Amino acid sequence: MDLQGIDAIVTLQSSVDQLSSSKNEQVQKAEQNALDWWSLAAIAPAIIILLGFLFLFFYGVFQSLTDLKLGRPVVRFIGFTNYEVAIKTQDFWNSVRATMAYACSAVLAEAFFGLALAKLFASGVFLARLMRPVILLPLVLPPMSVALMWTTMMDPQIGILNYLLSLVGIGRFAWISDASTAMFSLLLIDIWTYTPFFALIIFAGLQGINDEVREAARVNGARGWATFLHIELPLIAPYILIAAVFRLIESLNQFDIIFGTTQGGPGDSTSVLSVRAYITAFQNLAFGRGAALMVVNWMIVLLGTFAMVRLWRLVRQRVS
Amino acid sequence: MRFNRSTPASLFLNLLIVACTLILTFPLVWIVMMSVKQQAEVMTWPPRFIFTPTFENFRVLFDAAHAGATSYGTIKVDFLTPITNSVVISLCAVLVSLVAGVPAGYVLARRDIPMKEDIAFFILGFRFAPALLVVIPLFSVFQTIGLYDTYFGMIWVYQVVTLPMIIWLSRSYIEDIPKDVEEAAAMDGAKPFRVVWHIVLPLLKPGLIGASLLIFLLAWHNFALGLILSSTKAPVTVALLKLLNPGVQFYPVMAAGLVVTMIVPVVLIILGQRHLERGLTFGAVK
Amino acid sequence: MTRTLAALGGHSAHFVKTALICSTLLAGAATSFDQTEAQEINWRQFEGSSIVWAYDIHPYADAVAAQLPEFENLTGIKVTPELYPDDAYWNKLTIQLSTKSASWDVVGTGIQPAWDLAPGQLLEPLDRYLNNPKLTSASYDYKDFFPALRDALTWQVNGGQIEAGGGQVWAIPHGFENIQLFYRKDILDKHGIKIPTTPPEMSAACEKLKSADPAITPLGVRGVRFWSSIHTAAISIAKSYGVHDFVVKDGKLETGLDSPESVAFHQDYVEMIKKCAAQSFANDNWYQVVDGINSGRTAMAIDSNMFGFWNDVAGKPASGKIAFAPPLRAPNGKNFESNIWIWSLAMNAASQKKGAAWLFIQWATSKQVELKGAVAGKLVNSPRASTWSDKVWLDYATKPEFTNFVDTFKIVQDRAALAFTPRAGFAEAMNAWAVAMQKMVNGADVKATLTDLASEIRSSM
Repeated sequence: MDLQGIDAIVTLQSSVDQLSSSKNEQVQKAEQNALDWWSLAAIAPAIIILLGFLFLFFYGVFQSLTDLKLGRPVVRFIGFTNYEVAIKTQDFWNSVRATMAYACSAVLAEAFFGLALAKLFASGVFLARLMRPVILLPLVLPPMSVALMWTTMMDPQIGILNYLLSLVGIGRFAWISDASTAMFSLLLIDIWTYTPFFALIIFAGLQGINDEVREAARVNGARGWATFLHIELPLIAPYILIAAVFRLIESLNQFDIIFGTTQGGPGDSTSVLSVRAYITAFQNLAFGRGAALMVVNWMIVLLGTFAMVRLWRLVRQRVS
Repeated sequence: MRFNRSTPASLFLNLLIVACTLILTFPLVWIVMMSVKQQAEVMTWPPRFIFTPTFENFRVLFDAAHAGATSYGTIKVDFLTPITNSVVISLCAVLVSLVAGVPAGYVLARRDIPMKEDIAFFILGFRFAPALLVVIPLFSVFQTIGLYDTYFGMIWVYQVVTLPMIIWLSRSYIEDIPKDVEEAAAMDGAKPFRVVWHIVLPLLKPGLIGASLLIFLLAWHNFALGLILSSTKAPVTVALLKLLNPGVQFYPVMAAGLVVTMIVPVVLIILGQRHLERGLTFGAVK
Repeated sequence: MTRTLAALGGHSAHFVKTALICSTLLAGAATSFDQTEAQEINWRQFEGSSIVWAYDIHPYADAVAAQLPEFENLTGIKVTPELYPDDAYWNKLTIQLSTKSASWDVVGTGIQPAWDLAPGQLLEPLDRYLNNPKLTSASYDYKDFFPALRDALTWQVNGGQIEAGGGQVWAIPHGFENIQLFYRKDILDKHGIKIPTTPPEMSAACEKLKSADPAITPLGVRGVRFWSSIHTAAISIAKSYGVHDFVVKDGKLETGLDSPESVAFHQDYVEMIKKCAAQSFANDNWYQVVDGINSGRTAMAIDSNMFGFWNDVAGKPASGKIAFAPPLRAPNGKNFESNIWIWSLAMNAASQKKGAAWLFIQWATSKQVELKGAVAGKLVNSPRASTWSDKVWLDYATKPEFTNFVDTFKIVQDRAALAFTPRAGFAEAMNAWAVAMQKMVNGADVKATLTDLASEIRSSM
């Protein structure tokens, strides 16, 4: 789930380029594209497969309007009852809060640390070149493995993290076993895993900055911090934002890391919408209700993405 | 880089990098250590850093005939089956995606078909839909048509992850190939199909290898699809959860399992680092 | 007979020989009839088939698995055990059976999960196998199972709900558990702690223990956000406070979890958990409880009595150190209460190999497998009366390393009963209770949380 973003940037950017250039091409190729059966045949299999998923997606939305329960043959259409029941409960709003808190804090922290990491590795000191491949490491591990790895380390009784804390004189910490620290612990895992994602993209952005720009700033008397704040940061802002868009989408949908560690607990402290939907659908077998929760989650993702993309456009306009 | 740093500053930066590297690698090192410890050693406090390594945990992981004993009963772990499942499903998913996705990527890059940009964004849109919203209805569909817990069904649903990626990646790689190469060949009278087969594809090969590694990795990572839609054909990520649940603390064997699931991507990175790095940085740098 | 007659025709010597063989065979049959299997069913009728048996990772599974080669020799049927950790198993079981997948033939279940599975016709009713003389050996003696256990596993499904009292047999018990307080004698003696009988007494004892040795977790209890953490300590103690999961009010089923009794119980119980349980309470299942008692990190535990017994077995680190007492009761209550859990074997309705599956269930719950598993120290609490009157088992269970196991068992078993109301939808309601419990332990207001819990349960009734 993690590497996709990088490539999708390519595609987002290239498609933006495409939008401007395609008009010329269209004119050029007007004669040959009248009815391009070969092209249609080539693209058809992929489109059919994906349309199948689209159909399932709408079927899922439809299911959220029914009282479907696994193992019970009768299914009735009940309109928005699942949604009405959900929004009346405290637990639902807790889940919405948890989902947003998780995603927003993770993205903010990762952007910050990612920027720091990218700057550090862009400094070009001896070890930076040597150690760069290490940045990739958390990204290539399966998120489920990452989650289980940290669960082991966060064991309150025998976990290594508590041992490390005890070395600096901090008493036992309950990590994912205590409602007040569980969310923080999950964020820690998410940050460890995905900060490199930001770092890689920001690093690329930093590489793209013309050295002359920096030189000019220096000649004009700007010092280190000022150069960074006024020259570099605005230039890499679009990179940060695009990385943020992808991480925001994935954090709002995060399932693996939370399911592999707390399964939503203790209590409801980390019960984000996707985990709640899974438990509703597959532990309590209330498929209709589970689907309704997923639809809500999807709408949050949509709104979040929309807001981020607008922000991204704004920043891009100001930069260029 | 450009500005020469004073020695103390450079030393400090190097130290910072060492610290970052430690943070990024320590969990892995710890898990590898745990995987060669005995159950009793794992449960001690303070944790031990020096011990006699044992490969007992890996034996328990793969030896279906002999089970591992814990303080709450014996645990028999057949880890070979889920690994086979993961390899089969991920490989086939990649192949199917290549076959269906690369032609589509080519068309989206080179041909003008109606609503091209709409189609492109429709494909990108698959990254925005929560996978669970597709999987919940899929579960009842699979149950009805008998695709639940079959390789065929699993490979098909993995397309939701791999296919959009491969289309996008191959499209951007193809756009990267100068158009005149194709046009020159076409001038020489080669048929479009032959142009693609003999000219474009060889140029595309390194990129496709990188993209394939990448989407193999994505398929290998997947957890939710297998959790819900399979049982005996469950991938290795789901099998891992069996070893550590808020239940069994079979830590060392689980650590061994983690090491196995992590080895595959790490090996992939080493094998195809150049391709993968190209695939990765290509986008961001452009 | 024709052959004997033919022999009579001329070869009298041969006849004598045949008669001799016949009589020895008969005698052999008679003795084996008395002891174990009878000859009259053909155990090899499903030879060559292979079935999958799914179960929790549990000593009971070990006890049966250890004897599997005998079954395979007897029947020629290959059995593959598929074992999962507790909560993974229950989720998997529901999903696997709901999908009508045929890949599991025999499954382990308790009564409560079976309530959820039976209405969807996901379990095979077993009467027709039990009553078929071709499939069930006469020596199987179904009536040998304790009547209470048989009754608990017999009900009928009416309009998607469970009607107890008569009906079909849905599963066969092969081990049961009652809930007790078991404790490390060595630790309690060392710190001079009296065995607590109520939650407030327990809280006090825990504080004393903690101040004496901060490394010790005073009490091991399950806390996972899953019904499994309700059906042991919580429901047993709650019942003595007068809490009922469901009550019939004006002819309608209604949850009793927001009653004043329930509030009183939860206040005491939550207080006790806060003072006594491990930090990892929310992630603890019985595995952690057992591990704690076994290693001496935990001083006391309220859970299934067999876990205490099983760690008292000679050769284990805690052997002879674990003693037993009835579970806690309400401070103003007269009696303690103890929930029972019946590990049972049931058949997947979608199984394609039902005959072979039944032979396995029958064998695994037969007198000799029960007895053998029991004296191996694993299949404790046999559901068969015959095991409990068998000298071999009684001699074993009264060995000194098992401290007061048998005596406490008798005292507790007198009051042990199923504490839940038979009802489909058990898992959903009880999972919600477990989550609410975690919230209260985390400091949420008891009364408000219980009100929310009750309305949540009502909304899905």
